[in-house]
Order: sequence, then C-alpha cells, then structure tokens
Amino acid sequence: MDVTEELQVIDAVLKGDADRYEALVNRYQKPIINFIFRMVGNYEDAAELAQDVFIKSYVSLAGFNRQYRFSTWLFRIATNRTIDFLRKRKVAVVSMEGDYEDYTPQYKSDGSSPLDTLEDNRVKALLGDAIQQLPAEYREVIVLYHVNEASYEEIAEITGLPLGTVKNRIFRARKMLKKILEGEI
Amino acid sequence: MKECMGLQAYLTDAMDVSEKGRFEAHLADCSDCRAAVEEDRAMSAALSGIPKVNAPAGFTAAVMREVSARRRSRLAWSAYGVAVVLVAALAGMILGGNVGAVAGDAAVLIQSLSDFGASLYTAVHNISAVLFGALPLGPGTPLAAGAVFFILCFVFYKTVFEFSAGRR
Ligand SMILES: [Zn+2]
Repeated sequence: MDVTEELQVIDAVLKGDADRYEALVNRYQKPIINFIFRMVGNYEDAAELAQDVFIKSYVSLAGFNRQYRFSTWLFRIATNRTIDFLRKRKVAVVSMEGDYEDYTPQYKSDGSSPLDTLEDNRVKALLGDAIQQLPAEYREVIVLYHVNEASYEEIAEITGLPLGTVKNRIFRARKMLKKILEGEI
Repeated sequence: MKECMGLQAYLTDAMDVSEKGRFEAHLADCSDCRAAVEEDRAMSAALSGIPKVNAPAGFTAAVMREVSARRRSRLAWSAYGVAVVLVAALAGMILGGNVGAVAGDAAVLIQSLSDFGASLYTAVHNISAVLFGALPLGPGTPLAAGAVFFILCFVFYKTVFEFSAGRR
C-alpha cells in the first residue's frame, strides 16, 4: 500500500466506510507494537497500548494532516500515549518502592568489552534490557531510529524536536547504552 | 585534537561531502576516533538486530470491533441530532419564528451534536468501564439515551411555552 492508496483508504474511512480502516491496522500493527514494546518493556502492556493507539487514530482521523505521512501521525499518537503511560507507571513504581531505579542488567564481565560479543543473542537480549534503562526521551528516539528504522527527519516530525536535537540524542543514547552494557552506570 | 570534535557530526550524517572527506582523512591518523567510529557502528548494528515481536492473535479483530462500536454510536447520535433539529424547527414554527432563515445552520448543528454525542459516549463508556468493569453498552444505548433526551427536550419546550404564554 503506497501513500496514495493510504490516502484513499483514509478518505473512504472518513466518508463512513469504517471497515476500510482494517487495512491500516494490518499494515502498521507490527511496527507500532514493536515501538511500544521497546518503550515499555512489557508485551501485554504494549498490546493494550497499541490497541488504544489505533482506536484513538480512528476517532480523531478527521484531524489527520495530509502533509504528513499516516505513519508519522500514528507514531505521534503512539509516542504521546506511551510517554503518558510511562509517566503514570513511574509514579506507581516510586510509590511502591519499585526497583526500576536500582535495576542493572545481568551482564557478567569477563574482562572483554560487551561490544566484542554483540553478535551473541544473549547480548541482544541484554541490549533490550539496557534500552529500558535509558531516560524516556532517549529511548523514544533510539527505538524509532533503530527498531522502526525511521529517518532523522521523520523522527523530528513525530517528536516535534529540532533535527539537531534528534541526532544528538540518538548519538548520546548509543553511548549511554554502551556504558550500561559495560556496567558503568 | 580539534578535528576529533567532528566525530558526532560524522556519525549522524550531519556533514557535507567535503567535511566528510576531511574527517575521513583525519580518521586515518587518529586511532581514538577510529575506535569510536567502530564502536558506534557495532552498537548501531546490534541495535538494528534486536529481535521483533508480532502482534497478538486477533489484534486487528479486536481493534475493528471497537471501531464498529464507535461508528454505531456516532450514527445513533447523528440520528438524535436530526431529531433535536426537527423539534427545534417545530417549536420555532409554533412560536411563529423565521425557520427558513436558520435552516442553513441545521447541518452544522447536527454535526456538532454527533461530535458531542460521540465524545459523551466515550466518556460514559470509559467511566462506566472503570466503575463496573464491563458495562454492556450495546448499539441501542445511545438511541435509548437519545429518546430520553428527546422527551426531556419536549418537556423543556412545553415549560418554556407555558411560561411565555403567561399560564404559569
Ligand atoms: Zn580524532
């Protein structure tokens, strides 16, 4: 489905053919779920939030701005919903004396840099855990760039951040991840 | 070294061709920058290799069920909007107003009412979901609510009429 077809589907949905919305859900469910999953670190929460995102997008579709791509609009809803969820969870975790703050990945140092063994599946899983320890504003851009393969420009449109800030955060996030994997944070 | 400052710009595609050429020449001389570039590329590659998850089975169906529910409630509220406009027009005629002059606004009014109704439905649905877990809000609910509101409108109109006629 290219951009023109997407716009046709959106027009049809706006004219009342709600069933056509299914094509958009089918196309974007996987990227949206993967984005949210890497943001919140829990699959059940991710699935529920992703459902919210698609409903919210349907309900407010009349406000969709054609100068952007539909995926940009959808990811903007997803980032807002996810950040909101994380903010509420943080309050809940702090009040329950949760262990998010003290969490360190189970990386056992054998003297070599974690980067030497990054092909290893175990380190990939550790990297997933390490992403969870990044501040949300860094996690957001690094997941969009590396997991969703969004361009710097798309990320700037999704987050509303200047292009330079997006690049800076992605670069710094990779450095932070390296430090987390090395157990220095 | 001053040239080492270019590392971030180099690794985030923020250099033009000539800047890039100059930095790559620097890379040949500077082992620190070379190591940093290599590490960053290894981290990028590892991040791109993070395994993907699939949507749970029935995800699309669940979304589309909710979409249909929203759409039905919207249609019902639109019908209710039409009813309110008709009542208003009827009341206008009985009171001897210039109905034709405001008829053009009817579509806008219906649109606003269906928007308002759909939001109200969402609010009621969410609140009741919280309060009762899963209150069965079927497609008939907005219609029933609309009918009740219609009756209230009529009572309101009668009261106003009685009042304006001085038969209080
Ligand atoms: Zn250097």
